Amino acid sequence: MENQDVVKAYYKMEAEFEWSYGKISRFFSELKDNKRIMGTKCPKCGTVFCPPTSDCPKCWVPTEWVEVGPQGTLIHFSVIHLPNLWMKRKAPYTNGLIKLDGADTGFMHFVDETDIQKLLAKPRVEAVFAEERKGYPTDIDYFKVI
Amino acid sequence: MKKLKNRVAVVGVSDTKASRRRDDSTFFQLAYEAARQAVGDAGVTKDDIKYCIFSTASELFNRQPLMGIYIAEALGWVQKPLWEFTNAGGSSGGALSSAYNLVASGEADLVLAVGGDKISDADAPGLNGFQNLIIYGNDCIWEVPFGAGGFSQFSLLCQAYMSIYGITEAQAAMVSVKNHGNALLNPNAQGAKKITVDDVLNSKPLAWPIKFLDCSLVSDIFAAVIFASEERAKELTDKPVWIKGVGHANDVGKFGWRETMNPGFTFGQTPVMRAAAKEAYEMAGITDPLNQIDVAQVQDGFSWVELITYEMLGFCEVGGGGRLIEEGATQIGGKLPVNPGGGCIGHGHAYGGIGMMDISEVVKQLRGEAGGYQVTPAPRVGLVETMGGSGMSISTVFILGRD
Repeated sequence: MENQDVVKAYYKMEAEFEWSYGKISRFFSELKDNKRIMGTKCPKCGTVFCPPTSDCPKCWVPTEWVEVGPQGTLIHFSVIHLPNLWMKRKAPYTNGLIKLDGADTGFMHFVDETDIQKLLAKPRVEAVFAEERKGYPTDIDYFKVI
Repeated sequence: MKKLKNRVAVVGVSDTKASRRRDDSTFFQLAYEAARQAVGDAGVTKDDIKYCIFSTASELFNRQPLMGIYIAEALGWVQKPLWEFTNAGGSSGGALSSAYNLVASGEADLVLAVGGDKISDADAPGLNGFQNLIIYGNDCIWEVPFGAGGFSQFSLLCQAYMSIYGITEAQAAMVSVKNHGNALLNPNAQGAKKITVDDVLNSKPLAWPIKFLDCSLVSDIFAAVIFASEERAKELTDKPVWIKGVGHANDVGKFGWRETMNPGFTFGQTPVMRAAAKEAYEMAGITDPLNQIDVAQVQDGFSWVELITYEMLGFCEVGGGGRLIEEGATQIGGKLPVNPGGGCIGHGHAYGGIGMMDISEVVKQLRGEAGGYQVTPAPRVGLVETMGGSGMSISTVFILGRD
């Protein structure tokens, strides 16, 4: 086909969702009602997962709820300079992987520090809970360096 | 070790010019163009081929759910199978493994694999589609609410890799200098430029330690390859390129679970690449990759990723990626040239079609048809590595050879 002038169109996609947290719902109700952070422990291998899982992906057995945190240690981080279109938080902001006390896995959240040298020191951090909690992961507002 | 039923050859490849925007074509027109090139290169017709395996990074980038239907339509693929794979940068590896198995098992004598994305549909000037959509490849419960998308994940990995193994920003920058520089030799490249380590270090910070010039390109590219049985390959060409080894592995998506689920690995490593390479090397009889492999195409999504990949593929010891680039081993003329045509940083980023594009590149090298960026002497053994999913959660490795 010969070259021709192209015609363009604009389209905006919108879609709404509501989803259930299923078997890990307790994590969110504890956060909302009791400001408690819950992990799950595998009775077979002993791994404590936070974020939690209803069934251990290693052993394929049901896990048990255990309380973890609210303090922990920052293990890895990223300082984001790009403006973020889907969140209210202004750049630069820090995403941290936090090993909560009592848990074996890392928990992704905001850390209230953007100084790279301070972050490289793997500081101790503590969860700061949101005033108004709705049963969302953002019921933890951020982790502050302590 | 995997026992092969049948040998598999690559008999057709595409040769797509990488572009930031292809306003002249729709996504399915680009797929058609790539498929037509590969079919033409193989010297067959589409009616000779039963299976088409298609891959896209994400249907949403192309604004078309059930995208494979419209690929089938454009190719006239009726009353025969077209299967679709989608898994970000890992899509093409899955598609190509499947295509390979169809021939190796004896089910098919010719298979077409086509993949790619027209990212600019979601990334037109001033529009936020691509940026808003790419984040949903991450864990929608535990990562997305914290803005933890591609940049965040990869910068976490790069930061961990640097701090655990003492890799420097300047060593990573050398990958960008190499790949943008290699692209100067490649007439199909989108990101050809001569830059210095300082240019990379002084470019705009995006997500520490990643800066603008550490990043791969954003492209509109589809690529295609044709696999054939030994009998068919010998009928079609005097220069078949054989698939000597294949390996594929997955990992958990959630970054916080990586170390827990992969005992013995640190967060600055990518166990999927190690697992995929191990399988492919065993099958191909590779025990000393740096000396037995002559050319490699690896997924250089960010400059650090190429260094991590050297280590995970065994081109050097763990923590030795920075040293290997400094020694010049992976430059054209070095011991094992990596991404001689520029890779995703310098040539173009085919995203859902990376594997088809990289196999095309390695086949060109093995045939001695790579022009200005031909590795000399003409290589006998090549490697293709793809990775993707959610922050390097999937990897596929192919070993190709002339013999």
